Amino acid sequence: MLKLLIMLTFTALTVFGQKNTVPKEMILVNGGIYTPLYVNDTTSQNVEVKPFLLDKYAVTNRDFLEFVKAVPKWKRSSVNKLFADENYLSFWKADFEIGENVNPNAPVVNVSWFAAKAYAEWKGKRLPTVAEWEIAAQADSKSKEGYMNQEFVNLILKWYSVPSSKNLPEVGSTYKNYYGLYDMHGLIWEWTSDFFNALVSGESRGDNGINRNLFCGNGSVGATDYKNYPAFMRFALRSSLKANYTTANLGFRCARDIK
Amino acid sequence: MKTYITLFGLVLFLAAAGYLAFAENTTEKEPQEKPKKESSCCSSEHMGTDSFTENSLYQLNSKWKNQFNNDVELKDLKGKINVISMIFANCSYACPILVNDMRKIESALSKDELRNVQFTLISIDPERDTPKRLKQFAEDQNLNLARWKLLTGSRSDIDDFAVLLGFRYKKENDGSYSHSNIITLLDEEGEIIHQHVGLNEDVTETISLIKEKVNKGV
Amino acid sequence: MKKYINQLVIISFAASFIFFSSCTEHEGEEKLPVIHAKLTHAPNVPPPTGRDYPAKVVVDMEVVELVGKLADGVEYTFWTFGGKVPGEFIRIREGDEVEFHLHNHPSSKLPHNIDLHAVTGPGGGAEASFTTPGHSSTFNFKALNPGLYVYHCATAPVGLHIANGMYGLILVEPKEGLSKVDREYYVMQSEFYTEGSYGEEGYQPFSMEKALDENPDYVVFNGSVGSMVGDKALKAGVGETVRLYIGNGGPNLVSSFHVIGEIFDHVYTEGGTAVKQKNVQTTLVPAGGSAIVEFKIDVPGEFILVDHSIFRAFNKGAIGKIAVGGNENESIYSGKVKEEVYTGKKESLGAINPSTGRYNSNAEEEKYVPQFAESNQVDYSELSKSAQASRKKEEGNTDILSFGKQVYTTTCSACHQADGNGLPNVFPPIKNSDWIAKKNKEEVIDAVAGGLNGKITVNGKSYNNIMPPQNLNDKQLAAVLTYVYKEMNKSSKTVSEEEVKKYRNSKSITGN
Repeated sequence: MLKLLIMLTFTALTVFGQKNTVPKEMILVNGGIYTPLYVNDTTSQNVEVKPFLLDKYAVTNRDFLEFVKAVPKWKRSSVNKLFADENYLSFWKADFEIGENVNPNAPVVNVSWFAAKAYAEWKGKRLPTVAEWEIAAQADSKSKEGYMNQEFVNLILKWYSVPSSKNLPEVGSTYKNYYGLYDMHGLIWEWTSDFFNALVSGESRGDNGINRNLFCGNGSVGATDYKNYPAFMRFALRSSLKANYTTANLGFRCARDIK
Repeated sequence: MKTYITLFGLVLFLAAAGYLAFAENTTEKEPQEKPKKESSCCSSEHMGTDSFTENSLYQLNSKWKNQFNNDVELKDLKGKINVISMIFANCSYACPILVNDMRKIESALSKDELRNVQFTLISIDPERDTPKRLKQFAEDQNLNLARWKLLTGSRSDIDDFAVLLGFRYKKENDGSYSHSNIITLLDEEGEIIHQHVGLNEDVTETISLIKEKVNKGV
Repeated sequence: MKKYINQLVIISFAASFIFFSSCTEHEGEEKLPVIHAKLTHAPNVPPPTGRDYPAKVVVDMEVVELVGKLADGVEYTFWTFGGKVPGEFIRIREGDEVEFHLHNHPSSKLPHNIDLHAVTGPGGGAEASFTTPGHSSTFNFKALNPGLYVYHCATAPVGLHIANGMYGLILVEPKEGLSKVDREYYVMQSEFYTEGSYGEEGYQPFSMEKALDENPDYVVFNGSVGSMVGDKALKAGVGETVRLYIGNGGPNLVSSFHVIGEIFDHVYTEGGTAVKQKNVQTTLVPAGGSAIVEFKIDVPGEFILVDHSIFRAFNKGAIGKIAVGGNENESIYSGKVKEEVYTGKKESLGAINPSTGRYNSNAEEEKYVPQFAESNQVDYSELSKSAQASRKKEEGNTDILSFGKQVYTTTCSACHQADGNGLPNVFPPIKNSDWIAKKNKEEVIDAVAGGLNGKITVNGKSYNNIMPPQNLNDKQLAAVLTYVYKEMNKSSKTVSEEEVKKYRNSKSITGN
């Protein structure tokens, strides 16, 4: 029965999506050409990102509670360790209770990749790819090319440099970027669908020329921009993650194709 | 061996003659496959209700097609030691070596031992690796299909499986994939017991682990 | 060898390629005693191990990111091994097997790892210890070499992790131990790059620009300005022997470590285990390196530790003190006995000329004014001639084989192997290949430029893999095939660029 309902929701959403290309909680990001930080130097470096929709805000505790209630196997006490580690939603008061100390409008964190993916699918959406997320996050408030603006880069670097605050502020509390997306930096890290695609070993110095025996593809893997510290930090974080990991500053937002 | 090749030839001929997948399905005596299980709608339904041990990868409720275009679920793989790699058929460098490493493991095991061992290749290239292409690949690589399964599935299911193996991959612009090279041993329940990383390297530890495991089980 | 991931590592990312665990498990048949390592914060050093046998030493280290004091009124976000900069001092013995647990605090924003220079193995443990916030990693290593080693975080961007304080020292005592001394201290130098200049109050973020310029505002001992002065000065007594374990975390600068008013009786240069030098005034401590110095304190007073690149000491904070109590010994150091006027009349220097403010120089000295001698001028025409000649040679046919070998090594050897013998059952040999012998030149060119697909038989064995088209220019293709023909197949055939061009032209016609 539930399955049927979900399927119906799916269909409804899809139909809705076809008629109105941009639901109000999402933003159209026009895509473009993304140059990955780590590239295989013999293939063309750039990734073409097609236009896509991205949530304005990161998924909040309130949103996620709704999901857990609808799909109770994702509640804290019954989730399998293979899909979410023991810190999964650990800051909530109970399975179906966020608790007074946590802002329901703050982004949900301590969620695993599997959980985020399941939420997105439940919503009829998906997680953004690394390339999509990076393109969307390059924009500062004034332009798509915010990453060219040293001040903007410094701001990001500053956020990365300080430890997480205990209580996260509400979504929408940092800045709105050129596309109309909130908090792409400065609030939380965000999961991406293919976070595992950075073929780095976690040993930054070795990543200048990964042994061909370890990774397929021609030649060496190198970074495209050795000065892009924020990007290095994001890639380092992504490559330190496993899909069942949950951490105190890692949440997500959803994306969707344009039909 | 020869009978198999003849069989494949026959199947190819039949396929060429315009038979549908169902026809192949009945023609080929394919030992392990069970009929397709009831499907569930989405991967928020990850955890099946069948009994699984806590760390069993087979809990993933994902759907695959094998080289005979039959439906396969991971729980169908229960019961034997599973030697698994993720590959793509158009790979010109790493995957043939990886498959060769697996063949080395296969040839080091006795007939008795092999009775309790299966070999699985999961494609990471769903666009190009159709069941037919995988079958071709199996033939090119001289794989004994009584023991080897080649699976293809949706991108989402591939990702779920890849992350559980700790397998990293990335699609390049030329359509090829960069990927890590891991051979994973799953026990009868689908839990990871060993991983071998690298290409064309000594696989004796993997072999002795399998021997230990299957000989204990007998 | 150690590339096998152990049992029960349930999910392991390709990120952690190298595991060190198998080592101890195989060798640890006779059970070593298990000891939990005592770690200390600078300037303290854990007591000597006092053991004459190896042990299994368990080290637990926590990575914490926190805001702390860089100087009075100046705050900075430090990334730390153990809550302070520098990281906790680890002391083990040669031959010990270490089980290292790296815990990354849940409040951390970033993943971290540890590269211990004392570890023999790729990355020094960095890959095995790569840990996301709120997680722990465990790896094992055996301390093969004694010495004083730096450890540091090696997560990208590595410079930033070190610049924020992620370094410390690990001492691997030699089997026979170190000589007994009265005092041991831990001193680690490093520099910080802040947006505000030295002393500017308030919270100071990291400045990437200054770090890239290697132009720090702070050069400090033990993590902050004034960490070893006043009440916090190192203590010693007259007649005591002092051993300093000195590290340099960098990230960029090399330290000229000096103790004002002392002479190092012994220096274990660069942290090695032999006393390489006696009676040293200043010892060089490289970034990512160390030194051990020993000296006996003969007289009381304050002895000042500095980086003798002296502006760092007096303008950037590289200063510390050893306060020595006890009785004066005037036969060694008298203190000031008298002070008198000095007029600057020493003959050798000449008198100061009041109008120029310089010493009056005599005619003798003028001879030594450096001048560019005629003969110093280089005639580049000769050089450029020979350069042109050698370039011509490189391009010429005489060197086509070495160029071809170079192309082979970069393009072909990964699959066909350096020796050309291929990989059994996977990639066919191209050395002494009957396939190459049977095919005409154009077919061979086509195989490389256009790729091969499907079953082929080489020297009696069949192969069935894909050879992708190789993206080589005419010259490379000609050279590599000539190399393969002549060197690997003892053939007299060669391939010229013209032949490749001809092939490509025919291909483009038939291709359309």
